[in-house]
Amino acid sequence: MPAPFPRRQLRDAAPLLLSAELRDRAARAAAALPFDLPARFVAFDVRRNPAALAPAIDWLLTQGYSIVRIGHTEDAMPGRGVLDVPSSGIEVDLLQRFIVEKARFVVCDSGERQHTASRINTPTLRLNARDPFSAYPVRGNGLFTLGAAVDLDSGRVLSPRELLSESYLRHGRHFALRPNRPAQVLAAVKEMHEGVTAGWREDADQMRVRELVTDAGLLLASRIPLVAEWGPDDGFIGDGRLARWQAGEL
Amino acid sequence: MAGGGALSKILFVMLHPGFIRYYEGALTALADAGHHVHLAFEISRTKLGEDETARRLGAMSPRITCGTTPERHESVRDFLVRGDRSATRSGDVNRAASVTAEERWESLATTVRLMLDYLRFFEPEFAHADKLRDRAEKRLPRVHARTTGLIGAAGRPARRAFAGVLRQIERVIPVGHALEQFVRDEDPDLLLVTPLIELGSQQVDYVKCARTLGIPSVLCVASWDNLTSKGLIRVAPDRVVVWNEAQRGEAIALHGIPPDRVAITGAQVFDRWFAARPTRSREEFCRAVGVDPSRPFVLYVGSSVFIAPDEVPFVERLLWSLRSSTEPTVANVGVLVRPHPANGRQWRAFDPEACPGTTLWPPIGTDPNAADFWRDYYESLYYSAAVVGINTSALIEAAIVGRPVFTITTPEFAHAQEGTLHFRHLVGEGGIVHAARSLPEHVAQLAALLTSAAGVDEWRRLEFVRSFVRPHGLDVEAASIFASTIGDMARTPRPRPHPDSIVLRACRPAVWPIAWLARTLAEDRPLWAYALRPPMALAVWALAVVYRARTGIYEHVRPRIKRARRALQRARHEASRAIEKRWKRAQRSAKRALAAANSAERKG
Repeated sequence: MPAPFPRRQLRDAAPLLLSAELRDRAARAAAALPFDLPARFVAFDVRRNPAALAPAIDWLLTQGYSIVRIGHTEDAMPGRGVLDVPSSGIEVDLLQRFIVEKARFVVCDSGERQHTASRINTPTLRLNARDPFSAYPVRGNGLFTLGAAVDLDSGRVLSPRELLSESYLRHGRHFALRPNRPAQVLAAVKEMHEGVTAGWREDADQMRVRELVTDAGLLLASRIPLVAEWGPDDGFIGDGRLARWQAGEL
Repeated sequence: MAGGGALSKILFVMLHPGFIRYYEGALTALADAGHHVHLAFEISRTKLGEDETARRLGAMSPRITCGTTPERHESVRDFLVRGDRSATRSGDVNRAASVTAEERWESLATTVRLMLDYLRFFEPEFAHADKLRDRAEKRLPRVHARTTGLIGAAGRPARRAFAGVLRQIERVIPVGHALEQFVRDEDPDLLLVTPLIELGSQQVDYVKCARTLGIPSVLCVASWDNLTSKGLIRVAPDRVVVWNEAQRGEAIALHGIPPDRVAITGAQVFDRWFAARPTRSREEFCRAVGVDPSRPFVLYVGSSVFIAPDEVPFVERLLWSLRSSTEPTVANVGVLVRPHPANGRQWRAFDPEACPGTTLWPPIGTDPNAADFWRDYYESLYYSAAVVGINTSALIEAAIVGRPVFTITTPEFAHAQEGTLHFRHLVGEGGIVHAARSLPEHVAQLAALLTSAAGVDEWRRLEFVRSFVRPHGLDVEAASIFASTIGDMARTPRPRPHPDSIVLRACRPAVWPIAWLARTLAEDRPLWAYALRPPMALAVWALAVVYRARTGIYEHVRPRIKRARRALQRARHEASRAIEKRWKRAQRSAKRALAAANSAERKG
């Protein structure tokens, strides 16, 4: 079984910020962008169904945020006032790291980006997660949503509760993921905004989900490598939470 | 020889019944011309209802029959399964079974062919074909993959020398008895094989067998990617039948086939596209499918699993790009998504409700043998405004039907686009596909088309179809050219048999240890496992000897000792009892005698 992800250690770790030298270099690279990096922006790095982001982006724009896209070059989100960094071709890796550090919050659908942001202590919304263990945010400023898992043989959409079952976690290759719908993304983004501006609060369902995920993790860790690696670390799964709209369904 | 009044008898060895679809028209043309064709399948396949295709074809003409080839000791599939630990755990391979000599030769044949196939992808033509190279590497046991990889990277002279050695080994490997007997029993006038170029293919043995028996052999190249994306033609058949001049060049340059052995017949698989006509109006079709008939629609054609293993996220982004276009015709265009029949499962993750104006059709799991399947496909092409795809033969079919064809070259599919040679037929000089380097560029291309700013280059389209699909003329059916070419070959006198020479037979004992090694290494264990095996075997043997000796002693010697000891004890016991009895008897006699003497003394 793989070693567990050090959740407890990361929970209390100091933010991993760029050194002064790298920060200067990144700032110079940002200055070379064809646009000025705004003061108040949300960074997006989402591969699946960009159409689902449109209402959320529109809403964020009305709240005074700018939208900066990071990630892969080919994932361009045309129009809608999105500032596209990858297509600039300027020291992209360092620049993207800098942008994650500067962003008010990050919206992403990959674990890699979620963990980078978490280490910097930038609030993060992880969309379309495949399972509740690998996506569960360590820090309290993290939020996540689960995608809709579909059985590839029958086409049946699994209930969110089934994403905690042994058969799903063990046979992940038999399932594909449908991304969140526009209204679901919008609801999660609104919750992020609320947390960032008015402080994080948690409802009863979200607390119940944390307990549910922790209990399932403790039960399955000895049997399923994915849970052994990403499940609770000495009983601690994370201070973050599942998005409010979904917590009631689990 | 031909029987039942047939002109000639043709044996067509196919990997599986799925290859019938490439030759259906040509086979019926051969049967109609009076030839008897027997189709022999190496493996069965039912994924897309291929068995049903075979049954239907068999019912079409009494001159077409279907069967199987003899079962082999070790198919390529078995060879690959042996190295797969999970397959072994599920009990698919019996490692404990004794290995026959024929199985060892077959293992060597598979190993040599897989090595040759892997080696080819180090040639400069395949410099960008990383995924093809990886796929060939994965098929080989690790120890061979490492060796071949090192030689492959060492430069052309090293590759040539190594390939030369492998080809010599291939010559020495004998053909299995069952296979040879099968071909003898069939006794065809002509032997056809397809595809032959699968990685590690065992169909090579049929070509070798035909040569030994004096039967002309023909490789029928089934599809447009066959000569560039798979393995080598390791043993040249008497003739190679290809679609077009481009494939002829590939057969000569990449496979070393002499130019006079290559025949061009056209792409018989596409014949029906030329003759097809719609059976419904556009409005009827759109309503049946669920597309708005008042607007043009773009058809997205899915690709196979190797080309596009993760196609859904790309299509989601493509749809978003269309909907975000500032050109209303593009933003509102209908989109019909048609998954590849053999790559449909992943589309279950596609959510058409989240993508307005988009229809996924036909439903996933639709039987490709259903009566309307092909008609629906044809009409979806025919009524579309444009066809978009990654890299699939549907793009050629769209060109035949006369639709403008588009693709987007993107890093996530680089392995299947720039990383394959056959993609260049579509987008290179003379190609018909409009390739965009990004989604915005693609949207601009579509906008130009849909607003009639750019029409279809009809001359270019027809020239592509003529050169690539029907090189003998747009009105000439490729199936009839194929049938007449094959028919002519079947009627030519048989070549002289070429049984294995004495030198080859003499070499076999020398190559046998390599065959033994090939079979052993096919288990794909780490080398230390093979190194540990002899001392482990010795230790186990020694322990077994000690155990058997102990068991022998316990079972046979100890009971005898026990029995003897018991007998001895019994004898001693009985002897002592007898002595005691005698002693008592003697005592009693002595007492009696003493008593008698005392009484006599008293009397006297």
